[in-house]
Amino acid sequence: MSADKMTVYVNGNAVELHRGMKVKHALIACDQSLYDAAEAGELAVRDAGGFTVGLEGSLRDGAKLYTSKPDE
Amino acid sequence: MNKIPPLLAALLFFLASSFPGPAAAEPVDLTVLHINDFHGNLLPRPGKEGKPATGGMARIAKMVAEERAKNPGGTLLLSAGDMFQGTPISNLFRGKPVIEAMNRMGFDAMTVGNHEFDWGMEAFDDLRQAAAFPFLSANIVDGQGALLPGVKPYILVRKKGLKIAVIGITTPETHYATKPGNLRGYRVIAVEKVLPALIAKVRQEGAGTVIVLSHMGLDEDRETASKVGGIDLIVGGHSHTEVKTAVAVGSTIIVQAGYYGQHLGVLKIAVDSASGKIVRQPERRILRKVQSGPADPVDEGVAAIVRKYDDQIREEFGRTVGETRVDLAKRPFESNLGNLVCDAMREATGADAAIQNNGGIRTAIPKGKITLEQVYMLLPFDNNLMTLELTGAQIAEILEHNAKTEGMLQVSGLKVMYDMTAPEGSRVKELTIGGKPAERSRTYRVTTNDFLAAGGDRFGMFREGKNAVIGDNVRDAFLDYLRKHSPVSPRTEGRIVVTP
Repeated sequence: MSADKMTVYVNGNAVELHRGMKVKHALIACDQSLYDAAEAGELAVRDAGGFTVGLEGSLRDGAKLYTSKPDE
Repeated sequence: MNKIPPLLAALLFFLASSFPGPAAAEPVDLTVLHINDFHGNLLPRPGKEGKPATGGMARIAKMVAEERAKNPGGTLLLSAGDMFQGTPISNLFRGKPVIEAMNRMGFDAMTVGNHEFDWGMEAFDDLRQAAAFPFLSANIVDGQGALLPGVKPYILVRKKGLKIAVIGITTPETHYATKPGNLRGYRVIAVEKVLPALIAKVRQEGAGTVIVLSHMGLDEDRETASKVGGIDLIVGGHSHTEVKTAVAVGSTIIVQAGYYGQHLGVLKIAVDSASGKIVRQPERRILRKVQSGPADPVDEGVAAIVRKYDDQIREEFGRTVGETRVDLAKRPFESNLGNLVCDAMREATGADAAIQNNGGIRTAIPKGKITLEQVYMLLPFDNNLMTLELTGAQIAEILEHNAKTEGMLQVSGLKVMYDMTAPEGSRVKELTIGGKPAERSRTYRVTTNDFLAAGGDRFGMFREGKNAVIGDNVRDAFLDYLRKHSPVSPRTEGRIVVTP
């Protein structure tokens, strides 16, 4: 992995991103429909610890994200 | 000298250890209130599908006041950074409304986030000087190791007789997560190189509890807690994580309160007054949802500040920011409006070429004066410029994909000729960059927006670019261009030629 790139995992799928990119970019890179649904509030994005993260949240190399229905 | 007989010595030891000495001090109850990544969200966000609104600084201020009343003298109010940039009400006044609200609320300290530099060092300095609370960052230094002017590495605050250290740290991503040049002359040092010495220093100065106010992200905070000893609490930001129950790494507790002021972090801790260590966390639930329905009370003082600036927005939106001598319209393949937007993007970064998707350009603008509101409607998305290194071959591949999409890209700095009768993948017949034929193996600097750079609209080739650097918001670059070049009269000029 070069220093200007990072790999993150969305629902187990690896995506390569430019450094400094955010949660929304990972969704766009993986499947733009995930981003559209998250933007509309139909999906929540969670980190490996199960905490909800915002679409503008920062990412680091190796981060794992999961999408699921939001909590009511 | 007479020796004490062993039996008597044992008896004395038993007696000494069986009876308490002077009464052990009771733990001190502290409340740590915190927000992070507020991004200028002073106004509540409307609820979806009939749900009540959420967030809004006036409501947060009321919740803060209510928590303070429960623990007078034992409450800290902290911000973990990225407070200002992100909404019209804050952006149009360069963060001033947020600072005014924070001053009114009595923040104890704020750490410096990467987005604090989005408007340049002068705007950052203005905000720092307007703040009635300290800006903290221990790891942004110049070539001589000096901190940013007026920014402190830490503060010591006294609450209920406890001396508490609050140390600020900023993400090293700041170098590439803000516009290049905004942090010129400074570098962001790895926190593990800074914190151990600082923690030793604050302990020498009598600090019991050590809080790190971090704009690093939750994963980085976990790493910091595992690498650096002596931190009692990390109050974090940057990853926009809703940490609903505190994370523990060794003896360090980590919290973070999501983003946009949708939650207020309310951490209640009992602290040993002698050691400063956290001995108990009586409430497991540490995030409070900021509900802003009609029945939810607000702080009237903060509400008045927000209202004052909100009223001015209408006036600001009506302000003339430029002029066009021709109607500006978009259409597939080349358009005069697309050319204008791309020229603005390219001028902002000095790149060889600029590429923007039509989907990011939302309206037309008729001939005449252009208002700020029209620019917001034209470019409503908060996309940032992103400049990448791409080879001529990669640019050609992007333009080939453009042919499949029936022309959703607009360009500047390059010209392309398509033969739409050719098979898919071989429709680019001519490509020039900077007026010269593109060289397949040569590297060019290309500015696009972060949506395309992430591979949006199936333009995954942008992710193959190298050394990406983030820049201004696309809208800000467009406004700058209008200011410099109005009246503008862009036209279609054969940048994208389609045959037949």
